[in-house]
Amino acid sequence: MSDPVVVTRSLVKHYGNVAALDGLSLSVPRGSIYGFLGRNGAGKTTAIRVLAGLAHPASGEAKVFGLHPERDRVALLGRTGFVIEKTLLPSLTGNELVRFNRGFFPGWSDALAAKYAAALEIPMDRKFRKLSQGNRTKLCLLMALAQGAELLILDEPTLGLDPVITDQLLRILVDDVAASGRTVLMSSHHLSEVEKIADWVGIVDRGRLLLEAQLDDIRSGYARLRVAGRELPRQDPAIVTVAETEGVTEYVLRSGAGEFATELRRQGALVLDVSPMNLSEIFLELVGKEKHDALEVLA
Amino acid sequence: MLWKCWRDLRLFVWIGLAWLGVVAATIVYAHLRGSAETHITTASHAGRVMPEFVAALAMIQMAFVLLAWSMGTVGIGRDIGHDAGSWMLTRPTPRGRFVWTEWASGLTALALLLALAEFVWWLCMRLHIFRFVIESPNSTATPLFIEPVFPLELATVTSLCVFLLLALIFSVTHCGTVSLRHSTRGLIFCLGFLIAYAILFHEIAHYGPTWMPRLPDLLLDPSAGGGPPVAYRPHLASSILERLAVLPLFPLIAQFFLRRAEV
Repeated sequence: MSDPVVVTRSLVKHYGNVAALDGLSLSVPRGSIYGFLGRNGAGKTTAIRVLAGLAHPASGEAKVFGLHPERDRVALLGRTGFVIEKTLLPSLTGNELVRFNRGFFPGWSDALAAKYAAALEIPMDRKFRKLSQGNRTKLCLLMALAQGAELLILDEPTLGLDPVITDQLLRILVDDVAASGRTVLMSSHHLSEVEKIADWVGIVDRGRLLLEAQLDDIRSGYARLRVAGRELPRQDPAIVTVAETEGVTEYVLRSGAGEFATELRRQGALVLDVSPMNLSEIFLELVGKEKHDALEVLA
Repeated sequence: MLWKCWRDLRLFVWIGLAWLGVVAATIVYAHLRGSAETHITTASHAGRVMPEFVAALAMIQMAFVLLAWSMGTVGIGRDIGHDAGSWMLTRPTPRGRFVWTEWASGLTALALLLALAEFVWWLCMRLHIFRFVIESPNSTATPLFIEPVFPLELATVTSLCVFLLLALIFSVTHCGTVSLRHSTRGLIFCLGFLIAYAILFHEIAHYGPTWMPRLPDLLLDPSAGGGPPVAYRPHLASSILERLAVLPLFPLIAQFFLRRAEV
């Protein structure tokens, strides 16, 4: 991976006895839409808070544009749009929030703000506290989109949005943001949305990154094999997981499924099924089990 | 950011102005009614009316104490309490700027309100004196009789001393609100601070060893006591400067906590 915009190395963050981040390392390439996937409580929001300088890691390092989130926070925040908690100043209207926010960003565009307010159907003359949850989320997104940031870091941006607005937002991220060479890091547990727009994905669970890869590599490389046979191999660089039930061994492979199947046949095994895997199946395979310790980077 | 400070503080400014209007109207009403019922023929009239003005001044100042207390609860501390902290603290500006801008804006608003209040009060009193002289041509009293009781200079110095108390209350509340990241906690913090200070002041004054320096009064009395002509207390200027020097410690403490705050 060349020229990453966001890099974390072995981030550790504890809340009491709970490890929110347990050695998280990820890299977000410049110009990509990076889907940051994980279950509730997996550590996505904590990682984003660390990047924003809102949480201090116990150990490890985070850099955004090569800048330290705490030491260089003003420079970092000037180039990055964050949407974390979907709460703005409750007593201000959308228009007043725009007025307040524009003063912080030299690249702020009133034209973009008006465009997104219309596209996302936001009532800009109502006080924030009187908006529905969906409209609050949209207004938060507008604030980040119109500031002209080089990098957008969005925590669950489609939470509470209806399907039409969700689609509209995803189009904006692809057509307006990514098309202009800007980078998007978007956390979600809605795999279908991420699969629509992302070109990179990172899957996190229990504060650790389990998989980081280009979505195209995942689609073309990952496969599931069901094999019947005795003394089948359990160790191979291509194997992500292996499980045996009722005499049938099921492999999840990251690449080279055809060659692996040929080799098994040569050893006398009966290959029952070879099927490609989608993002959802891979996600469930990685985080839907009690135990997992593989870290996979396909750069 | 100044615009937001004004947005946060404007309700308190309107309340302060409204209260000022009510007190001024009450003074004028009481004064007019008093003059209709009583002919001003003697110099003792001035002495009789003066307590009304002093009471009015006390009403204004007590209201301003509450105002200063309330004004300290707005700003970044309240925003964090309202879950808007992650948005506010991801604006590209040093966190300390929030604290100092809010503190300076709050003190400015308080100073302007207090100055206006004192001016209105002083104006009412001067009008009273003027009427007193006009309506009692045979009276032996002259403005010179009243002038020494509350001259403009003493009124100004008294206002400054009151401002120092208001500024302390505002600064402590603001510091508590930012550090504890909640408006109500800021209010309680200030109340606790004042009560603890009062107890400590009392304990040291009555039971402290003789070598221990006495704590300064929360409200600085500029006069040395006694009747006119007014004499100022010794070392008044240094007492004022000491209090002024203490005030910026509170935003410094608030900034220290805000810089390290996790939101």
